This record gives sequence, C-alpha cells and structure tokens, in this order.
Amino acid sequence: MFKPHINLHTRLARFRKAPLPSSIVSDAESRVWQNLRQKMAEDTLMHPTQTKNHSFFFFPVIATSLVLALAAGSYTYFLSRNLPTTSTNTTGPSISMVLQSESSEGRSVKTISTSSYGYVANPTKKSTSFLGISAAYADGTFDSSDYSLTEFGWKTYQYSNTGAQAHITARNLVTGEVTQITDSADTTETLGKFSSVTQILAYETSPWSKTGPSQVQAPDFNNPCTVKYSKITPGSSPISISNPTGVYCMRPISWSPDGRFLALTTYGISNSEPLAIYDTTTRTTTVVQNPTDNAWPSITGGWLNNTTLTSTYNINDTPFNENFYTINALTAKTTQVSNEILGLTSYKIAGSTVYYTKTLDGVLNIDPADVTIHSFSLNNPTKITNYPTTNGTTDFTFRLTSGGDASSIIYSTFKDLGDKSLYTEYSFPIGDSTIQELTLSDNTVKTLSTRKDTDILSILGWNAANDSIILTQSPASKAHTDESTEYTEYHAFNVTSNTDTNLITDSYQMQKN
Amino acid sequence: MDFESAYHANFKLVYRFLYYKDVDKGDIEDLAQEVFFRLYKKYDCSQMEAEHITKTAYAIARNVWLEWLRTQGEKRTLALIDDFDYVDSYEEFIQEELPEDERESERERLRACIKDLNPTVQKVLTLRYLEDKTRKETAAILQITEDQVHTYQKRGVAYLRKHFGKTVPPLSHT
Repeated sequence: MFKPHINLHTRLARFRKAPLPSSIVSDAESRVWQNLRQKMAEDTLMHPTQTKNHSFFFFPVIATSLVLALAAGSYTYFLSRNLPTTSTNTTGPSISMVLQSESSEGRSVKTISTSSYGYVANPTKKSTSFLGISAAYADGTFDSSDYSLTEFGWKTYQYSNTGAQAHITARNLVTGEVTQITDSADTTETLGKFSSVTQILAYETSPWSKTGPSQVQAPDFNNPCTVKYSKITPGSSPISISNPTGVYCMRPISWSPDGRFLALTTYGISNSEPLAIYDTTTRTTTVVQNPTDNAWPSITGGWLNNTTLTSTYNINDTPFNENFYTINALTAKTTQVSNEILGLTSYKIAGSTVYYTKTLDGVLNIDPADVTIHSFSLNNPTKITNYPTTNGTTDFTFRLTSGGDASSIIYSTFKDLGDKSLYTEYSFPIGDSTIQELTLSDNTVKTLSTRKDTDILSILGWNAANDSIILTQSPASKAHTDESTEYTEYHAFNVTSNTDTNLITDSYQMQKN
Repeated sequence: MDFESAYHANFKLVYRFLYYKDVDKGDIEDLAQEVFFRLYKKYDCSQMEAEHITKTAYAIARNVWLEWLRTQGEKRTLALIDDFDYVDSYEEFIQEELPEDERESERERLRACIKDLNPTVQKVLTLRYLEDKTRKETAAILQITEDQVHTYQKRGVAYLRKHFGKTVPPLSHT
C-alpha cells in the first residue's frame, strides 16, 4: 500500500546527492572494523560476564524508570520554564487551555530538553503555543499550519519508527494543570484540530511500541494511523474513528461550527486523497467522492454553516486550476459553486463571500506582484469582484463585522527592490513589505505599516481581542547576516493603533550545515 | 552468520544510509561504528537469519541517525526531519545505487515530466529534488513562503505520482 509513494520518493531522494564512490566505502569499512574490534575487546574486558541478552531481563525495570523519570521531568520542565516576554497587544479574552505537544525520546533522560518542541509564549497573557511548525490557539481561532502537514500521509507512520514518542497535553493556563490527552501507548505528530464549542480535540495517532529487548523500536505495521478525539478535560477517554475500507490513514482538517462533524483527509484509497466526514452523533465516517475522476481536494476546511463544508478541487492535475465546491456534511454530496478557475493559493470565507488569491494569468511567477485578491458571493458566484489595488499580496485576512461579513481586507505585500541581494548563493532579494487595509465600502486603500528590507511571510490570524493580527516576518538585517542562519520573528500588529511589537523574538532560527 | 560476516554484509548499507541522511562526513564512520557496536552488544547474529540482521541494522541505524540529528540543534532537527524523514524506508535501505548514466537518465525523465507544469511548481520540484535544497532554502530562492513551497510541492508530487511514478520501472534490489 505504501510502495507507490515510497518508491517515488526513494527515487527522487537518490537524485539529490552524488553517488557514493565504492572506494570511500571500502576504506571506511576497514577503518571502522579496526576501531570496532578494539571497542568490542575493551567492552569484553570491562564486562566479562555480561551476556548479550541481559538487558532484556532488566528492560521492564529500565523502561518503567525511564517513563516515570520522563513524565516527572517533562512536567517539571514545563512548569519551571522561563517563558519569553510578549507584547501587551496580545492580551485579550482568556483562553483556558493551550494545547501543546511534548516529545520524549524514551531512552535517555538527557534528551528531554532537546526533544520538547512546544512552548507557551506567555501563560499569563494567553497568547499562543508553538510546536515545531504547528501552532494553535485552543479556542480554534488560530492555527498556522492548516495545510502544511497534509502532504505525506505516511509521515506519522514513519515518525513512530524513529523511536520518539510524542503526546498532546492540554495545559490549563489559569491553574497550571496539565492533562495528557493521547493514550500512553500512542504517539502523535500534530496538535490536531480543536473545537472550542465542544472542547474536543481530534488528532492523528499511531501505536508506539518497543520491539525486542534492545533499543530498537517500531510501529505497528498493521495499524499505521488512527484518528481519535477526546475532550481536553481530565478523565476523558479518547474515541477512535475507524478508517473506512481502503483507507490506511486519515488526518483531521476542521470541525463544523457546532462541533458535530469532523472533516478529514484520507490516504490510501487512491492518489486523489478524497475527503471524509465523521459524524459524532452516529459515529460513522462517510467518504466524499471526488466530483470527477480528474479532480481531487486541494485546499479544504472552511465551513459555511453547521452542515456545509467548503473545498477547492484541483482539476486535471494542473496546479492553480481549482474550482470551488461545497459539500453537504449530511449527504456527502459535492456541489460546484462557480465555474471560475480560481488559480489560487488561498481562500477565506466571510459571511457569504469567498475571498481568494489569484494569479493574473493563472500562472504564478516568481514576482509576487502577480497575485491579487478577488471575491465572489455564494449567492451570485458568477459575479467576480476584482480588487486591483491588492497587487503583490502575499497573505490576507479581514476585519469582520458583528454579522460575520468583512468590512475590510488586511493584506501584506512584498516588493522586490531588484538590484539588492544579500548574498549570492541563493540570490536572496531584499524588498519592502507593507500592511494594507482595503475598506470594502468605498474601495479605499490605506497603508498601515511599511517595513523596509523585511519580508512578511504570513498573517497567522487575529489575537483573541480582534485588534491585532499575528504575523511572521523575516527582517533582512537579522535574517541573513550570513549564509548560515535564517530568522523569523512573530509579531502582533495592532491594526487600530498601528503599533507593532515583537510577540516572540528569536523564535525560529535555523542553523544550516 | 557470525558477527564479522554480518558486519561486512551490512556495512555498505549502513554507510550509504547515513550518507543519504546528510550526516556530516566526519560523523558517518562514528555513527556506523555505533550501529554495529549496538548490534554486537544486543544481538546474537549467529542465531539470526541474514535478512533479520539487515532489518535490525536498519532499525538501529535509524535510531542512531535520529540521536545524531538531535545533537544538531532543535531547529535543524525539525528542518531535517521535515524535509527528509519521509523518504526513508527499509526498501530504500537495501536499494543499490543507480549508475551515474541511469541517474542522469532519471533526471531527464523527471525534467521531461514536469516541463508542462506551472513554472513555479517546476522550480520547487527542481530545487527540492534535483538541487538538494531544503524547503526553507527553496522558499528563500523563490521568494515565497514555506507554506507555499509546501503547497506547490504537494501539487507537484501529486502530479508526479500519477505521471512520473508510472513511467519508471522498479529499481533492482540487492
């Protein structure tokens, strides 16, 4: 079942590096053997009576001790961690829980500090929680990685095989209480999707186990992935969602507004990865047949109401060739809303209006100035509204009225200065970003902020008070001072007062080879 | 099979595995030694079938590689797992290398397969799979976000699954 994928990636991976000369391997083989023999001899002298399988008899004791030590260490670690300072702009209504995931290596206590990726920006101000490339507000308003983790369905399957076990925990930011949500026997990779209405988290999980007496660990190959959901309160037991026939893995995408339905991505039926909808009342999963043979879900997850999911379907294998569809959660029937080829990189819904980005000619060139924002009303999908002032859009969000309609679009742009570059290896251009606001009632555009030599990467969402957007940016002065580091800052930008402070500094810095 | 025979039968596989996992050159031999030392300490190769030894060596190599990865810094760990972990499998572990002419032929097949795609998707696939760039590097080169790289890559890979994957015959195994 996995072979078509693994074969492809294996093939692609072998392109990346130069062939390994056999002479190098032969020389290494001799050198390592000499050293290995010496090490084995030393080991024999130090442990003359040890048999090979002694560790097997001690394994249960060692494993129990490690689990206890790791549990205590992890708990202490998160309670005592010195948390970074955040902006006062991020204060807002309380968020009672922040979900975070901890990864424990399971063999050595010393690895706790390097294997725990999650952290809370500021527990007293209830800002945000990050896990690797995932982030989530527990109230469901903020998730920066809706689609970035849906690419390779077998990743969790492989992840568990690395020997690392990861759990999702809910931390009550008021009381400090920490509750493990995932089963002890499971491992997971993502934070899952949270319904603030029902306080239920759905997450992808796979069994985690040790095999044999040594440190070798493996997943259960017969049951590679299961979606479970559970309340995040203490004492709740996870409920498993059975995979439909032919599906070996699913991944939660989003909850319906009332928390009854869960939209899922499936893997295994075919390359087209059809969607599925789980009904918590009947505990049944229905696979949503793709509308045509040559279409498969592209960007998915927005709910129009409690029973209507939205998705774009990519047509004819052609990138940027998407149509917009609604899906009835009760019948799993798909309905094409518009004949417009969206050519989009993102879409968002406000009220009955769908806003989307589109390239001018249906082909995205490197120049981001090609990307503009457009919209259509679900009541009149053939009438497209173009916003020519939104050229260069890299990401957007909108202010909502009390009725849920957009009063304005707030978007970021990037302008490459052309003749400047930081270093030659990647020809990384320097440019200026702006934060713009387009008022829809009169189509006026106001520049809220200009950032010199800074690339705004994405607008992650709004803070709980709905007065500040959370964005990531990469300032050239910090981002690329040399070729070895890359740097991203998280900011809260108050769109009313036009003030901006660092939400989290030094939050993402990658050291390359 | 005695341990020495097991070592010589599997060393190349372990070494190549670590090489394609982008382990620093100076660390490959140390890690390979650690793999076989653990094999020696924990298993009695004389009681194991050859295939079982190879599978065990693979599993140990994965663990040793991951432990090494974790010493490289949190962010690099994340980046490498994100970019490379999914290509790993036992099937890959035992796979012989392609001769250079076949590698180039495969590259040409890939180039030909993606030439009809959107230019940015072509660039993403080329940078990620032919020029060994990470997602972050690719985003920097193309001046798009990492999420966009991911989206384009997903679309490109979906396309390749249908078109490239079907046209290439399976590689031979040892």
